[in-house]
Amino acid sequence: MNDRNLTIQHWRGQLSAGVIAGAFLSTAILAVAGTLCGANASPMAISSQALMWLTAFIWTLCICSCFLFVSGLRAWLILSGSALILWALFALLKHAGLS
Amino acid sequence: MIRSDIVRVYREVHSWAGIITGLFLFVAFYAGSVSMFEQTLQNWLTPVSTLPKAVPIDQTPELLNKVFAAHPEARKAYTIVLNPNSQKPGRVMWPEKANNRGHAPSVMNSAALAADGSLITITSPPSGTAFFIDTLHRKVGLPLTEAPASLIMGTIALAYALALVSGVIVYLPALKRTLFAVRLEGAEQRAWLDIHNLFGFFSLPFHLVMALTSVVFAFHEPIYAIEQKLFASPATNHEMPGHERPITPFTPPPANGFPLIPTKIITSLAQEAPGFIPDTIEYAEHARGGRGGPVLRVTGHDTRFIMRGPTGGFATLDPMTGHILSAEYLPGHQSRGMAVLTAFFALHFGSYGGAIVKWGYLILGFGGAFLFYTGNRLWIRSRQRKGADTRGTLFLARLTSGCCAGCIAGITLLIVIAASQTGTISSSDSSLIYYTVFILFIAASFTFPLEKSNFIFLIFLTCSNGALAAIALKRALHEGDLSSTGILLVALIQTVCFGFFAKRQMSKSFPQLATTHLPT
Repeated sequence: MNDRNLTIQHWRGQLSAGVIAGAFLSTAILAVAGTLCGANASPMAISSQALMWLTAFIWTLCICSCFLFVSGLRAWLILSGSALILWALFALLKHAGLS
Repeated sequence: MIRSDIVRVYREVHSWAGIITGLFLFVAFYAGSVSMFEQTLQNWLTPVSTLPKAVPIDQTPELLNKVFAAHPEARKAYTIVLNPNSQKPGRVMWPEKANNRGHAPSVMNSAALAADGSLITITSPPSGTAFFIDTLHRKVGLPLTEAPASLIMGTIALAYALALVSGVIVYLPALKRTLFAVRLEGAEQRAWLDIHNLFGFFSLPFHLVMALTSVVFAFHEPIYAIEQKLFASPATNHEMPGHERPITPFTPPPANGFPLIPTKIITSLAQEAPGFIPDTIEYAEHARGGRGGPVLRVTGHDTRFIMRGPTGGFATLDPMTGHILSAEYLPGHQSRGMAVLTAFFALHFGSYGGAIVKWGYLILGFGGAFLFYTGNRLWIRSRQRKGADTRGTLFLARLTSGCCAGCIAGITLLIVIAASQTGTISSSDSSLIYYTVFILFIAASFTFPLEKSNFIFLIFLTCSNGALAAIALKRALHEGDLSSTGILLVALIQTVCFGFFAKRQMSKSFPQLATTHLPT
């Protein structure tokens, strides 16, 4: 996403990043958002249903925007990198909550 | 202004995502449009019952007692129908087999009273035709079991979302100039492109809702499973949404097995939820397959509000007092958060605003199917023009033609056959009829020259819709009902449209005939 021109030739890397790393990222957002709002995982609860929609929406968004990365590698690094950071944050929150 | 390299990348993405999903979506949208009137169609295809006229609502307790005496198993779970019709002929109904957990219409027993007050019951197999068309919609036309069909449907839905977003990115800059400029006079290719853009632009919100809700319908179970792993604590009540909570404290129902008489339930509900029109009262001795306490659920509709299901919402009542226990799915009485979530479902099902919205969705759905068809045609034309990959292009051209025509022909012929039967057709027989027609059409499209098979297909579609229109006209004149009139209208419009295209196709397929007989 800089001055280099985008091409379709990296589509395999970009799309796989959008689908796979995007799934990790969207579930990481689910984990953090769910912890922050105190979700209890009961599918009856509004929080669980809203989080489910949020996850599906973010995953779809990742898949739609993955072609904006200049290369497949970059897409993988950014999407999975942010997923890792969020998963770490989730672990931290959970640890802080439990102790 | 969007950068030109982004537009170029997304143009490629749009055409590939579109070409992969187009045919699945065509079937899903065509079948989905028909499913907008699933209940109407099912009722229309179920012959009028031989049961005597339903007993008045205040006589229901007497009927119930007679049913319980003769069929003790009915105590476990039964339904009181407030507006009996062909598919729900009796005031009281109970399932032939207990614990039918599937979505398929189950075989129900219906009860009525004869003139002398004696009990009459019938067991009527429901029409599986409308249900099959809905299944076809949910499984994007694939004859697979739930799990693989759901995975494929979800993948298609994601690609569909991608096609929509990329379509917007690609055409947004150009749209300002060309939106209403449908250049019918120029090259045929341009006209198809303009129609595709016009349809796509005006139904964009509809399509965005459909794409996102379909992703959710396909993937909600794994996401809930992840939530379970992440947040579940031992104290959490793990039930799926829509299932009843056991009532606590639990008072055992009185010996006669009926907690509160229906008229009292209706008056109590009318006070607590005015404007909600109840359709059925469902009572079960044990919630969730025998593990919970008794449940009383009233399903109904209220067109002033958004509704969770395709036909309405429901309230869970206290079986003893008739007070509302849960209004989470009751239209207009939901909490704000739940109402927002319900809005997504309602936007998918078109379950708000009553008949006008349903007809609007029917048109948008047919329009959507047409959008995907034009998309495929554009792809084929542009490939042919470039002279690239002719074998693959011809393959896709044949598949598009066979698949789209086969889907419409299969559904139309299925309804024609179901409507001309004296009894009803099960969903498995419906499936057999549909796929036979569908496969024959695909086979024909790969056997005959494309121009010839297109003409045959259009003639077939004109005739089958004409036949359906004739059946509906006969019933409309005979019974004067709204369903027949509606079906007649849709079938007639389709007959005229396909007839028009058949006439146009004739000059292409048989130029010698067209020039001698049609001086246009």
